[in-house]
Amino acid sequence: MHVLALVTQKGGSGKSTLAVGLAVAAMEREERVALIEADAQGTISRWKERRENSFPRVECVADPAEIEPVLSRLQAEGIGLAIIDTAATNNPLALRAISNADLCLIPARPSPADIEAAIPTLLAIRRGNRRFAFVLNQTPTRGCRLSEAATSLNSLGVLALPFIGQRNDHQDALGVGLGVTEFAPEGKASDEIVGLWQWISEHIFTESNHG
Amino acid sequence: MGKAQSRQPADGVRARRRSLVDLTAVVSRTIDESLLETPPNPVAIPGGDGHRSERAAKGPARKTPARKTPARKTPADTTIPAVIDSAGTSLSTKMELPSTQYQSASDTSALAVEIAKEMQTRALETMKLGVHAAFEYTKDIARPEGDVLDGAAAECHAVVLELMKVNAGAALQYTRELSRVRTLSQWIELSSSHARKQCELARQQAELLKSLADNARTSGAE
Repeated sequence: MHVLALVTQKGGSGKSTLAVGLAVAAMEREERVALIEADAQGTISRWKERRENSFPRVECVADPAEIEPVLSRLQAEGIGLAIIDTAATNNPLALRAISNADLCLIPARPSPADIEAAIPTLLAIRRGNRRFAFVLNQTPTRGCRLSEAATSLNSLGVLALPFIGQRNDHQDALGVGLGVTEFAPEGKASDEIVGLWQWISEHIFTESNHG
Repeated sequence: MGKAQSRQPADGVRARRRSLVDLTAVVSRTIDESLLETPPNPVAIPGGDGHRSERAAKGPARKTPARKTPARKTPADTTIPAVIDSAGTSLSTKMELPSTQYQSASDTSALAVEIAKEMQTRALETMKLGVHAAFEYTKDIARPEGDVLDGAAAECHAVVLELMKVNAGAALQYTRELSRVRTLSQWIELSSSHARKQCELARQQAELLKSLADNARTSGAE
């Protein structure tokens, strides 16, 4: 089983939305996926309540000590990919998620606040010797600020591709209990999420197998 | 009456805008410096990495810099390594900085101030250790029942005491400067400069002591 953790202490960076979008995109590509909600805000739990499809399953975790048992159970049940959504803080739960992740995704918007907020997260990841990648999220559709942010994040570490644009489809999909690839399969938002999942799967699987 | 202008001209605003690339460079340095000052895996995550740990050992983080703490060349067979240790203590003890306390820092400046405070405390501890070691060493040497120092041994003894003085002075200066740190850039500049100086100092001292040890061996063989 592979574990993907979405981490950054910046609120509103799109961790939960990306987690849901990626989980559904991976599920559509024959992955057995589980979402682990390690965020008391409960965005994913509420999304799951609105969802008619019983997959992907959602596990809620409040105690750092629960993470490993939950992962072990999911692995025993044949889940191939666990996506952990963490809270917008570097609490012990988020740190435990980092320590268990094969790949940590750090969503960041092209703003100084998001880049600065990545410091404690990056420190934790690099101290724990975990693999990580930035995801440039909620980007404007064009403009030099985007390339500047991409250059910046790339200098801090790996930058996953493609960038995820600021598009209403993500929020609308979340609101009706769908992944963006289910909500608007032909849309640009869907294309970007599928592209991002392909990037992740190439890195998470290839490097885990050969690492 | 015209309405008061509430917006500054766009050019003025743009001129003040901070480049994300510059900001990231500062962030990157902050992270590198913090990692340099801390042990490799102190994320304060309780053990029991469970089924992940094996894979983690196989696949390290991408782009994780292979930072090395400065190598301390220690002469092979002299009694001097203790002094090298005291010279390197300022490096090695700083490696024990706790990490999780920084996670709570709300912004970059707060993070820098927290780290600076911690480093100051560590530097003071290092000084205490160094002075204590020097005192013990001197006491041992000065014992009436101790062997009489002559030739190369006496030279070595004098050099060791001098190195102790230099190291204690460097630690003291660094501690003083740390107390004056107020901003992130000041801290980065100071810590980078101190790290560079310490590396160079340790290298020079190791070479000096090695040559002394070689001399002592040569004269002993004669």
